[in-house]
Amino acid sequence: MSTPSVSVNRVLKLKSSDGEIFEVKQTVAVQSGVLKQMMEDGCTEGEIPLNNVDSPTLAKIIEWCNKHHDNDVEGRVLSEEREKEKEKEKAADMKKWESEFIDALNRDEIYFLLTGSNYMDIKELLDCAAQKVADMVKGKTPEAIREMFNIQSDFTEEEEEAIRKENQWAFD
Amino acid sequence: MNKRIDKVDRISELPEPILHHILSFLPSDEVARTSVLSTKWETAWRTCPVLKFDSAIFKDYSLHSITNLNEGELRRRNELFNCLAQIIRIRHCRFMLSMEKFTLEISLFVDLEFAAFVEQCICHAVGCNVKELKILFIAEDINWYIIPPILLFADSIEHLELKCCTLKSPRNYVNLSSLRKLVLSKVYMDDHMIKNLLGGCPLIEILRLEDCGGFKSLELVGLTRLEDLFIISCMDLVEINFETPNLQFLAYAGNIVSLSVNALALSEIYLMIPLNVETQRYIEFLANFYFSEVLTWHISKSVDVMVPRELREKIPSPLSNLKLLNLNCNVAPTGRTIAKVVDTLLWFAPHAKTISVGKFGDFGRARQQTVPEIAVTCPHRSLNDVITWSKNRKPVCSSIEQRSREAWTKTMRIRGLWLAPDKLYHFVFSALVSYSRYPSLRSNSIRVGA
Repeated sequence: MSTPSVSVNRVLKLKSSDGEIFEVKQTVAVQSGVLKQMMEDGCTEGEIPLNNVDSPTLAKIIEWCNKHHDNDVEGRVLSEEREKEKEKEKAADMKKWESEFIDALNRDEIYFLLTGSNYMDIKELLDCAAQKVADMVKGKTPEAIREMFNIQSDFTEEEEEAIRKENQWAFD
Repeated sequence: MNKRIDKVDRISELPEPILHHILSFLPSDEVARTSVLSTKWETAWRTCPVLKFDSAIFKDYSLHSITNLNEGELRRRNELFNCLAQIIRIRHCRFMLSMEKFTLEISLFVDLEFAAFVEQCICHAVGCNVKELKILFIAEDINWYIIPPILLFADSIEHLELKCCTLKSPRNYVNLSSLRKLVLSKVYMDDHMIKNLLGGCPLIEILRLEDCGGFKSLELVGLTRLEDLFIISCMDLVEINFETPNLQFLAYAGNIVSLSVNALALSEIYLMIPLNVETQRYIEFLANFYFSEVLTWHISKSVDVMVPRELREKIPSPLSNLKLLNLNCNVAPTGRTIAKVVDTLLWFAPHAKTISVGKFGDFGRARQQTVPEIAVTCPHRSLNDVITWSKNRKPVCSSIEQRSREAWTKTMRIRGLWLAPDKLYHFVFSALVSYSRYPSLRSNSIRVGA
């Protein structure tokens, strides 16, 4: 695996779908698989258009990446007890920050965050947002889920009955 | 404004891969229930690449024995088996879908319907080119179920976990050419089978064998990508041959076996071996790992580790390269024996930067998650001699802690004291007297008390 030549001070200019420019440090931007690939290929000069991400969503994504940039707890740590403890605290803090970050969003924002993080290939953020939606669905009846997300059924009554019957094991 | 936005059904507009990703965080029965929502959701369920048949679905059948089920329960169980088998069969035979993950976790029944159901699951999952496959039976130690041989030729599998079953060597060479991670727990196989198995997974990076039996010899040869290895309680083992140039981490719990070690990249070891054998035997065992830098050693009583002085003078230190030695014991040393224990540990690892003696949780936990309840740390070569003695990281006598910190800033810091203050002096003295035998320490000033 080759590491892109990343200098601490260099910034990337990201252009959202509505034309706003965001400046992001290269060291932060590597969290996006797409941007990392572009840096490796050396095509990050000028503005990078992100046509599937609007500015409020991009701002949120950058906030996430900035927060996660210094706190890379991955890797083999052979450090001393105290450092381990500190790291554990850090990881716990991060979990807390993540849940606050995601809980503060409305359904619409989560939707754009899902598509945005998917488009930019930021796995952790995608997981976090997907987990949030899964938690919302969990333990609810289909009726409650429909109401929560305003899902309109396109089945006839008979069709729905047939599907319910087919998956009867899951309703027992 | 939110109200207006929420009228739109955005979630159903998500691209299918993202919807699948969301569904992968849910148990399969919950996913199946969403199929009545709309066509989009029905399709998402039918094509969902992650299936998990576990206690969420089998909750009514958590009893081990089939004899515990009455006729009605048995009929319902078999109907459920049919439904589930149908789900995975359709994915394979009708839609030819690829599958990311398939998990089957169920009590081990002893009947033909059960065997047929498991076999169907495995065959269709393999047919769907599954990447992560877990077949986990819940049982005491019955491993009557023999895994169908097709599994051993599934070259799509990258991550495989099996529990409470038997592997029998097929006539051909095993081919698991994509396998990166293999976890076998309570799996029974003979020497021939494990040799064939490991020979068939050249890309393996993580191998975990736990409570596995039936094989005496473990030949880790040609596994050039193997980095993490766990051999836990495989009690039939008598010899292990490590030819693993890139192995970095080893956890071994079990008997003292005969070793041949060629694994110079191995830097970190977790160890749990019985010490009721001749002292010399386990020292020889340890000496096989003379090149490693970090050792976490689990023993029941800290005093067991002590090596008599005569023996220490006769044989060389077994772990001369060690930088960090953690001794975890169920019975932590008390003030009187701590010095002796540390003394022996310093003989084991004369170049250690840090030695810690403490009481830890159970063995086999993820390596960066252990929380010390009591730990004594003394990096005896560095200027700041630190002795930390804490319980649950909460100081019992915080005032003492405060005073001690100021008193021994340079030479010693004591945190979270749980010893009574009068015993403390004894402890500090005995420990220091012992350390002061080491020249590097003698140069540091030792002050006790304010």
